[in-house]
Amino acid sequence: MNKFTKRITFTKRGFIGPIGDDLPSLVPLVISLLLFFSIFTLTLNTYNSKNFFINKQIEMTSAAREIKGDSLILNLDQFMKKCRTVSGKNFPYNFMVGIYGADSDLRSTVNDLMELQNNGANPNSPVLSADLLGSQQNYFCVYKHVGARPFSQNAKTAYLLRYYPVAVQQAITRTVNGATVTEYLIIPGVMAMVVWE
Amino acid sequence: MIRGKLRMNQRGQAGGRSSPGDLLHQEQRAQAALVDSLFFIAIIATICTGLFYFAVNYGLGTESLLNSFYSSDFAMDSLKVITYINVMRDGSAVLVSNPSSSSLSTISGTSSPGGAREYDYLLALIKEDFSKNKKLGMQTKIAIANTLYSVLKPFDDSVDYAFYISRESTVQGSSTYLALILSTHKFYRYDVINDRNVPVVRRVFYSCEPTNNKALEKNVFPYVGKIDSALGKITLGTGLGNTSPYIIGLHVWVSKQVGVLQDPAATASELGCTMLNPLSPTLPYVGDLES
Repeated sequence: MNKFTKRITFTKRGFIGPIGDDLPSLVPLVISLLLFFSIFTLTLNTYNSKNFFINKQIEMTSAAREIKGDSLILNLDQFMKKCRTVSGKNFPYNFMVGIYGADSDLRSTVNDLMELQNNGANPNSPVLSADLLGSQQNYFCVYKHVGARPFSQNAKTAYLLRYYPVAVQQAITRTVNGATVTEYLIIPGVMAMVVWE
Repeated sequence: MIRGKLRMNQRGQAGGRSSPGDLLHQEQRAQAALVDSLFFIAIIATICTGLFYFAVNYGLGTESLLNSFYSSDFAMDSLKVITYINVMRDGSAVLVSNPSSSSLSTISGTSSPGGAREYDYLLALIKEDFSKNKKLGMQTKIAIANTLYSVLKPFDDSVDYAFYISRESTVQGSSTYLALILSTHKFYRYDVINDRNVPVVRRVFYSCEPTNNKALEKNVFPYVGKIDSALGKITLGTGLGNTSPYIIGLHVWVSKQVGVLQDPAATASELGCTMLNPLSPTLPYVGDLES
């Protein structure tokens, strides 16, 4: 009876069982665990995404250096060979490269390259063109992984766009003393490169 | 940990029969657990702050390094292109998107008596002009300005630059510049268009003849922010088979309104510049604004 009275006294003092008694201490414990795992996940995601982005920039820089070489593009054949060399090394991303004349409007570069990717050659494109194996072709190359989706400019496509000044040798025809001759002229241009996942 | 041990002891005691003394321990046990959890949250908060700081700052250094690689590549590529490309013998730039679809003779401008205009490498023009009197004439300087304008035209809105050819010299003092071409954006006035004030800004080119060889370092570089530079070496013939080494340099920076660059042609300026735009029809026209 005495014991029972004591138990009633316990309840009045706030004892509500082994778990219930620790409830005030469990709340900060649970909050801190939630906080820790949230921040840990955020950090891990940030770390991975930044590493991915940095890696993409490094790969893009090295690919662009390889394609533009010494900043002098002698002809379309040389340009295409360099593109194939980069893509042949299992480049880890998809890329498009186009060379524009220095008087081109570069505000529509991405749309223009996208159109070239979708339709192949485009004689109206501001991308420079040259004769290759008897046909007029654009200074444009694209590399996509097997099964990769084509580049589309939407919010979900994370892409990098960089411009590099290059000099391009172009064949011209001119009339000298009544005779038509082919000469080679080096003009300024801009190499635009788009890299996407 | 001490509190943890205390709680273990208290738990042990509480496991037996309850007594008035046990009641006191029950209360202490609850308080100890609460303080433990508060310590725990403090430790977690510290760790989380560290993790958050790491997440925010991770990669910033690497990214800025990669960006600086790009901008130094950009400056070096521009300098290479300047040395590679052809210019017309009269100093105007060759700017044709697809020359294969046109012929050079259709490019506007004066033609030589033969009917076809002549072109050459910019460096060839510089060497030829230098060999005459060890100086560069205004026509060659205009050719350099036109070349700079055509090479960097795609980035015309965003960058300003300085190009120079300078004698290799360790002697401090007098100018060693053979040519110094400075290109900036000049603000003229505001025009009211559709009830809005629109600034009238044009790209201007200056040929400068500074009085000392630290003119750029003193008058330009401290005010324009981060500069990407590319340097190269050329040799110019000084007659009788002798050559002298010269440095060509290109400094590029993001365009900004700087007081000292607003009018480098002012008489008080140490740069001693002359505006080239009125002297060449292929450079941006400023005749309507300068008068």
